[in-house]
Amino acid sequence: MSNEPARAQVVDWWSAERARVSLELEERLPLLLIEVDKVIDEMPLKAFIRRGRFQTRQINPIVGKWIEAEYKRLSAEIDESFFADVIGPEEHKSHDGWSADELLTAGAATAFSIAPLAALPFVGGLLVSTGFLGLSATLAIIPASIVGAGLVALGLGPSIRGWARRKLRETFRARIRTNIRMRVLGEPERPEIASLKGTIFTELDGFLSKRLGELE
Amino acid sequence: MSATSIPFEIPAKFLLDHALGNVERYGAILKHVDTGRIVGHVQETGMLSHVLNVAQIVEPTGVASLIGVAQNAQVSRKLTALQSAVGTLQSLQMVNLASSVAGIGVTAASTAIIMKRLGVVNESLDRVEDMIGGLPVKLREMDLRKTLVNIQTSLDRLDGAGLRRDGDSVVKSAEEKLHYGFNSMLDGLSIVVIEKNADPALVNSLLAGLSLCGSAQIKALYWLNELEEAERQSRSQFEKLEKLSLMVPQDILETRISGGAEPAARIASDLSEVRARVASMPGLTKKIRSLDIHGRAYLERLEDEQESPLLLLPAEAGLQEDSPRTDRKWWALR
Repeated sequence: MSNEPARAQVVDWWSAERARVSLELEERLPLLLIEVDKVIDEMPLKAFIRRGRFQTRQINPIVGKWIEAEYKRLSAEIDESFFADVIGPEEHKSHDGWSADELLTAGAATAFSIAPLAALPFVGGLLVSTGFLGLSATLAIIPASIVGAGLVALGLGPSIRGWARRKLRETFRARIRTNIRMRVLGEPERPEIASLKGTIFTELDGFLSKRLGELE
Repeated sequence: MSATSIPFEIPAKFLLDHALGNVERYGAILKHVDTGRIVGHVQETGMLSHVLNVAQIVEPTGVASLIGVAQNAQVSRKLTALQSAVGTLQSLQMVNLASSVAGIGVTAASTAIIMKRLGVVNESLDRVEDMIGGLPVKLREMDLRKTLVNIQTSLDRLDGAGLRRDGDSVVKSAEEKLHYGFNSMLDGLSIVVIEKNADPALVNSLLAGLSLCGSAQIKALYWLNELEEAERQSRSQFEKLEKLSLMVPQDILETRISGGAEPAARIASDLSEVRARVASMPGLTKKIRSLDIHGRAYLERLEDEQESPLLLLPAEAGLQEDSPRTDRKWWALR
């Protein structure tokens, strides 16, 4: 029997899953950003002195947990749709006496889920901003010790101090958002940076390639 | 096997199963959902083609409105027959499909309809060129519109081919040009889809042109009773389409097609239907060969069918057809 329809179906599945993953990550990313925003809103001013440490201790765990959860959720869904749409009922025949459903129930057939989460290089840490937060030159060269109280000492009034705080926070927020976005959705111009979407796409491409190889 | 003895069935008996979700269509294949076993090959007929022609549905990208169709008395009668055969919703889907880039099975469209549709593609390319201020340079160099005109001229000679002593050579010449047309459209598509802000109308036109050339080429090979070559060519068409599809999954299309997600999704869907249709052809042709049906007799049977818009060539006809999945390996676990 010709295998072209089966090949066409697996390409359909692959294309649709890539589109779904892309769309869902875009749609769900704001939920993570809102969560991170809350942490940044409550970030004490002195934390800006060592913002790298604050990011590592306060923000990265939230992002890592979210990425891990999304990876697990999407991989489980991809596994399910792969068996439903690609493998098909006839191949739900026994493999050493196990049906595909049984394997799925036992968790042994979840090709995606058994991929070690350590394989997600970004779970351990986001890109850590390396100092320059895009502040204006004036603010950037103010020694960390005078941020906050120091501004008064320099003769700058409360309104300026409030503006500086806001500026500092918003710049930090923008930087963190860019980093998170890059780690979740990737950046076409910077393919060397691993992302959740890129990792899942690599898995999907691997599924496709393997399946097409089987159908040759 | 003569045209009248081809073991076609009216697919009505599968409609209930289809409605119940027991069988599903993929391309021109109807198969059991539970077992994956092929029930048969769905085939459009001349009657469906006639409906489309009367209704002047020649929009090759399948976006033609069906409102005007239902208001046409002659079409209405045909549509009623269609509805009684496949149900209202399905009939509209079938009409859409048959009028779209995909079609169902071997095209039953007459040469005149194919020419009309190619004409629409040509005009569409013209419009796009005006709209976007010129086609991309590489496309201009390919002169796709000239290719289409050549194909139309060649097709024009096909109409009376059966009555001519040199009929075979006329059809062979047309088949060669259609083959060239398919490859040209594919090259054009490959160029367009790797560009940023690709125009969706241009992509649609090229896809429609590619589909029309491909299906007409296979029809020409059927006419010549070159079924082995038809099987080989349809397989080759599929491989080329598969390669193109791997270049541009939907998420990539979304970043390349002007207008973003919505037009990209439509193009991905059209491409999927064309791929599914072409994927069905090697199996169908193999089946026809195994039943020792003459290619031209098959076409005549389709064109002469006046009652049913669709026919089904059952998998059980002749030799037992294996399930498409039985020869596959178990998905290797990692």
